[in-house]
Amino acid sequence: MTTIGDILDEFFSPLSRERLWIMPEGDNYTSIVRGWRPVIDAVARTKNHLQMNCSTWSGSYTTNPTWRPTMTDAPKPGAYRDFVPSPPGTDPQTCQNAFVVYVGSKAADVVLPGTQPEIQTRDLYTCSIGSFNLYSTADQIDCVAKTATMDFWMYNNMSRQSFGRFASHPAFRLSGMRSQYMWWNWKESVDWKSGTMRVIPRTGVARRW
Amino acid sequence: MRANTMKRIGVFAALGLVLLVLWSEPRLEAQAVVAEREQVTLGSVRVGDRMVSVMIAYQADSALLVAAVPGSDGNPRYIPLIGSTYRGVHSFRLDVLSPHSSDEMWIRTSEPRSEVLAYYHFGAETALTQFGRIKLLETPFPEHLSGGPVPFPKEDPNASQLRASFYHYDDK
Repeated sequence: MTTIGDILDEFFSPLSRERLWIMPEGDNYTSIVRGWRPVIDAVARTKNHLQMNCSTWSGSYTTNPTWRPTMTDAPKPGAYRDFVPSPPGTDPQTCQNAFVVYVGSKAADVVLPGTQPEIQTRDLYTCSIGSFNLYSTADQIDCVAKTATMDFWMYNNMSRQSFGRFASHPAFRLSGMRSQYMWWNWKESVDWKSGTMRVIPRTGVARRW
Repeated sequence: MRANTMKRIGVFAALGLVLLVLWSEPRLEAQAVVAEREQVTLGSVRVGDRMVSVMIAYQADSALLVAAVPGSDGNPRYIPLIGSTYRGVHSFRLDVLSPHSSDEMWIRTSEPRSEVLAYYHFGAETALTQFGRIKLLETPFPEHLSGGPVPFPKEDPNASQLRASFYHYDDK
C-alpha cells in the first residue's frame, strides 16, 4: 500500500532520489484516484470515445503487453490520452491547507508524548497529483458484441516545479526534490450493448504487479 | 540503518521549515499564487505571410507547449504540442518545416527523440496533433485535452524546408 506520506518524504528528503512509483489496482492510492472527480470525468470521456469510435480503438489503441512504465514524461505510445491540467481542488490554497495539516501531524508526533497518527487527508493525496495524464488502451475489444476490457494508466510527475514559487523559497534548500514518477493502473470491463456504457464487475482479477 | 535515520531527520527538518514558512506566509500571498498563469514565447517564425509562435503556457503545476497561429477572426488560435504534469516541459529541440508553397507545416521534435507533434494546413479550423485531429484552441489553458494519436501526412523531404528551430532547456 502506498501512502502519499511515503512519496512526500522521498521528495522532500535532503537525500531524495528519482523514483518510480507504480500503484496497481489494489493499492489504496489507486482507489483514491479512481474516486476523484477529475479522474471520473476523464474516464467517462474516454469511454464515450470508445463507444463512438470502436473500430479506431480496435485498430489503434490496443494494449501492448510488453510496455512498462518508466521514469520519463514521454507519452505512453499507442494510447488514447486525456491531459487534465491543474484540475479544481488542486489550487495552492487547498493544497497548502492539506500540507499544513500533514506536517503539523508529523510535528505533533515528535513534540507530544506517545505516538501521534500522521494525518493524510484526501486533499493531500489529490493535491499532490494536481495535473495528470490518463492513458487508455483496450486489452480486449469486440465491436460487434460491444464489449471491451480497458487498461488505464494514469501518470503524474511530482517535480521541483510542481510546487510553483514555493519551490524556490529558502526553506526548501534542504530538500532534494528529485522527480517522483507516479503511475496508477487499473482495468475495467465495459459493455455498451444497451447504448449506455456499463461497467461489468470483473472476477478473479489478476494483479499485474 | 544510519542512512535511513539521517533521512528521517532530514525529512522532518525540511518539512518543519516548510511548515514555518507556510504558516508565516500572508494569506494574500497564497491567493496570488492561484493566478500563476503565465505565457512564455520561445520564438516566432514567418511561414509565407503568416506568423507562427511557439510558446509555453504555465499553470500552477502544469504546462502546455503550443504553437500559436492566426485565426480567421484575427485572434490567435493554439495547436497543443506537449502537455506536462508539472510547471515545466522537458528539454527539447523543436523544428518547424513547411514546403515552398507555405500553405501547410509540420512541427516536430528532433531531440530528445524524433517525432511529429503536429500538422497544420493554414486556414483550417483543425490540426492533427498527438491528441488526434482537434479543433484549434481559443486559449492555451484548456480544461482538458482528449484524443489519440493518428498518422500524420508524410512530409516530402525534397519539398520541405526547415523554417526555424526552437530550443528549450528544462532544469528539473
